[in-house]
Amino acid sequence: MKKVALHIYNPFILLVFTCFSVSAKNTESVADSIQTSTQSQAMAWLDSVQRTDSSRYWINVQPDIFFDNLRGFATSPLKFYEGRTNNFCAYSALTYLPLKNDPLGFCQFMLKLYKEGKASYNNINFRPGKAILAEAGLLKYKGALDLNPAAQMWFLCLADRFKGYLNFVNLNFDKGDENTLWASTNYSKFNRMLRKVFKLRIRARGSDLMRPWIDDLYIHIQERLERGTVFLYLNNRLLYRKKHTSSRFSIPTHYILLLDIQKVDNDKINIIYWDYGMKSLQQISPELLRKAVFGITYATNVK
Amino acid sequence: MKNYLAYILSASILCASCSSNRELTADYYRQNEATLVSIKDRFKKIHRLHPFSFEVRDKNYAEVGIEIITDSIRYIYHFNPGENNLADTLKAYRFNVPEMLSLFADMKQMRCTWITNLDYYERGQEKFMVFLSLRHNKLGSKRKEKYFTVAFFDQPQFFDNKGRLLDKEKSRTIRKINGQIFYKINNRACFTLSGTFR
Repeated sequence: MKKVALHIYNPFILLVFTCFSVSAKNTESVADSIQTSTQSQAMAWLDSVQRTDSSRYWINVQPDIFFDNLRGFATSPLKFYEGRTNNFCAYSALTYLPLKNDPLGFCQFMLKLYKEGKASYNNINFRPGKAILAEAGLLKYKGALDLNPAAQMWFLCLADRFKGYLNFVNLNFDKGDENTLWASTNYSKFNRMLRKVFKLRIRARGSDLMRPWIDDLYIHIQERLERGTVFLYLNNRLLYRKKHTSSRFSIPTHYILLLDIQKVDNDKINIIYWDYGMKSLQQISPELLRKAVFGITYATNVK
Repeated sequence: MKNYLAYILSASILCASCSSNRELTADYYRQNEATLVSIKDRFKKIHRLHPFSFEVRDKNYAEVGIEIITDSIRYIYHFNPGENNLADTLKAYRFNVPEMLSLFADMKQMRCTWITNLDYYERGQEKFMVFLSLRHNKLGSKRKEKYFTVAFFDQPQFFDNKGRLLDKEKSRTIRKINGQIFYKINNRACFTLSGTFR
């Protein structure tokens, strides 16, 4: 019943709950440090750590594959892949921060989670339920995510631990819920996750229904890129067109990590961003940028 | 009782319409097999040297997009097919321009909207299929599923007695591609009808 008619694209749900969508402009929390460990430290630690037997909690995650996945986290953070046809893009985008700034701490957290079935990261406790423990390792037909049970564990734990208004209609995980509202992320939930899990100073402009009123979006984004890590909350149907009919309602459905933005000769804008396990450069018009962007979040690099 | 009759009638109409759609699309494939296979083969040949995907971004073929995939980054450009920019860009990325333009012309003729090389995983091994979508004229504009999508595999695939693509041999699990169930055309090709082309 819960999967029927309650779809992320349903504008009425968004309209009803839009008042709960917090523009996190003024929310801040103190960051002690940005870069706390390096890739080489993470690799050295992974080499030194003794391989464990199968986890008694994560019954479908094989230890060999799990350790290979952790190595991938440490060595190739930009290959971290959210998978196809699910709602994990927000979790994947924010995972860039621990992979870049604290690969050692993140790998240590993941190993503890694997061994003990629970762990805390930056004092946020993750204690997944039985359904989550059983599901990690079984997600299929999601592209390279099929071979990454460690990423499956992390995505499922985040979706289980953090809830926004879109999740209220489906709070408990059932098989297949990675594709439903259970896993979806509204804008204020995204910003809350960033603040709480990574203890960073977060500034955000935008919301789930209304585009931010910014005079020069290009300059605004460029200035924030110079000061920190920028995430964009976008209408994905404009970025990756999937059908040729246009909808009356334009709503955001996708999160990306923005790496760079440049104006080019032909009045177009190059946005260089990271999603789906790779860097992309997309050349778009300023008008498309204005239409697509619903939220700009940046995590300052200031300690 | 009246309600039951209404349900049975609706279900029968629905089943009949699904079945006729499948016939329609299977026939469509057979009628156009030579062109579709030629597009697939040429795409694979070019893709081996220069990985790319191609999309049509509007109904009238007025805007096309190309994704050029390198080891480190994916470039996504949009063009008006009449402009020289497309050929210039293809040249800049060392594509064989006439070969590419000829492929795009055939795709346009077939109303092909998207072609890519899609990864999938079988027993822990990465494999690829060619994923090709086209707007099917006979499906009409009012129908939700406007796109006829064909998946071409390198190896023979397994299907159940309803012709649905299976996960592997002796498996009952249906393999979904982009969240869709695919139906058998032959051992290495299957199709679906979808509301989206990618």
